[in-house]
Amino acid sequence: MSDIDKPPLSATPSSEQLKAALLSSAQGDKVAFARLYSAISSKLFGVILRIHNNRSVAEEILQEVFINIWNHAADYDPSRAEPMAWLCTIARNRTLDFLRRAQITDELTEDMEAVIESPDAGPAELYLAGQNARALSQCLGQLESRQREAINLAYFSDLSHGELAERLTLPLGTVKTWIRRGLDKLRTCLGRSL
Amino acid sequence: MKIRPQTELSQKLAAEYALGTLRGGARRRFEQHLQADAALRAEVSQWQSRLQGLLELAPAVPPPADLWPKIAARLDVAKAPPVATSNASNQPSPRHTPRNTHGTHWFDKLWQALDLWRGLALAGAAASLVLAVLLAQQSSAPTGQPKVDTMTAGIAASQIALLSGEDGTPKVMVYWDDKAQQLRAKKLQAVDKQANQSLQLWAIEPGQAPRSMGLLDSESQPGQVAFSGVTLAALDKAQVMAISVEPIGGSAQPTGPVILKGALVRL
Repeated sequence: MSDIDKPPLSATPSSEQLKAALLSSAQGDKVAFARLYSAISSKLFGVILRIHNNRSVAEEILQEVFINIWNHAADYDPSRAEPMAWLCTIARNRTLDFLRRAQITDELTEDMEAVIESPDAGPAELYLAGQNARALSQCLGQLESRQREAINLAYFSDLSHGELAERLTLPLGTVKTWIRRGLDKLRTCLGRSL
Repeated sequence: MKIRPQTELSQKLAAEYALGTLRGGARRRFEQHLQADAALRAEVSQWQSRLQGLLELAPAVPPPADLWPKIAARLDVAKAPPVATSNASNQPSPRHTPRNTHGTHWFDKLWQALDLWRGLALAGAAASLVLAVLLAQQSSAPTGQPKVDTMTAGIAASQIALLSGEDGTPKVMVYWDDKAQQLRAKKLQAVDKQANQSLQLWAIEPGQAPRSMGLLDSESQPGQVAFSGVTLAALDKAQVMAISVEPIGGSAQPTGPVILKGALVRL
């Protein structure tokens, strides 16, 4: 077996590798930024697609997300956030901003289906995810599916109770109850697992 | 009214605030409480990090390979690096070379696929001239950071290509190391090949036969290959870098399948 057959790096970047790549990117190191892109672009593209299931729009948003990361890498504080969580949050927030600016709301019905029908995290996602996310995944599994769906939809699409009720064609009170009970259960479950 | 922390009410509000379902007047009132109450802020941030897990659980989807060149072309516009502002006007601009439309070789097809980002890069270069002047007046010296990316520490690269396969996931990074004046490749992930094969790197310029940059068989450091015979001039008109599978020792022209490719971006 020659050297080239050996994996030089794990295909899944460690938190330390991401931190280092972010800090170097903050100093204008484009090679580090290219590496950061290689390591996380699939993950962030997945986050964007989960919010807005239109590939060409999602590609445009992914560009904005990475330009944003490049510009704000210096704001990343390793003592306050895990890099993957920080990067995923940027992807979510920029996506929501972008959709609001572009007033892309007509396709929300379609998006809703995407959010609701997205498969739960597979082994690869769980392997990649941090400890928090793994615990969350376990606890989400204990919710009723409609509670889980409502929480996912609220979070990914940034919807209010009223908007959720409209999209799910359910009474407002029902939606509020699902969300509240779902969050309660999550708190109890996560409290145990943490 | 004071919201006592760690109560049913505070948890409900913190959770719905983090989730985003707390809206309007209720949200504004809650934010006023937050400003005054560190314990409440801690509850919110705990919920925020719990819910961030939802994002991390989203299935990964590789973006198309032509996205990275578009992003790379915008980096200078986005943030002028401290050392580059003085010679920003000397940045290389994309070249326009007539495209050979008669060829049916794989490298011609590659070239055709590049039209879109080439146009974008041109627009980006024009914009960067304007912005470079504006940015040159700002002092944007980054503050000292304790850690650096050990894989890229000290590398200054003026050209870079991320090479990916069918699924779009970059597996090899090829770059011109300014300091060492050398073309180098770093493996970001394992690259499959048989024991009786070589991987060969090619620089592709429109309308021309691919030029061999060398083999990836021997590594100067783990995961790293240096192409010592290649000069910067050899990359002058190259637009795409590609890796093909060849018989041991390589070929004069690519014979095997191209497994990885990516646009060469001037930084």
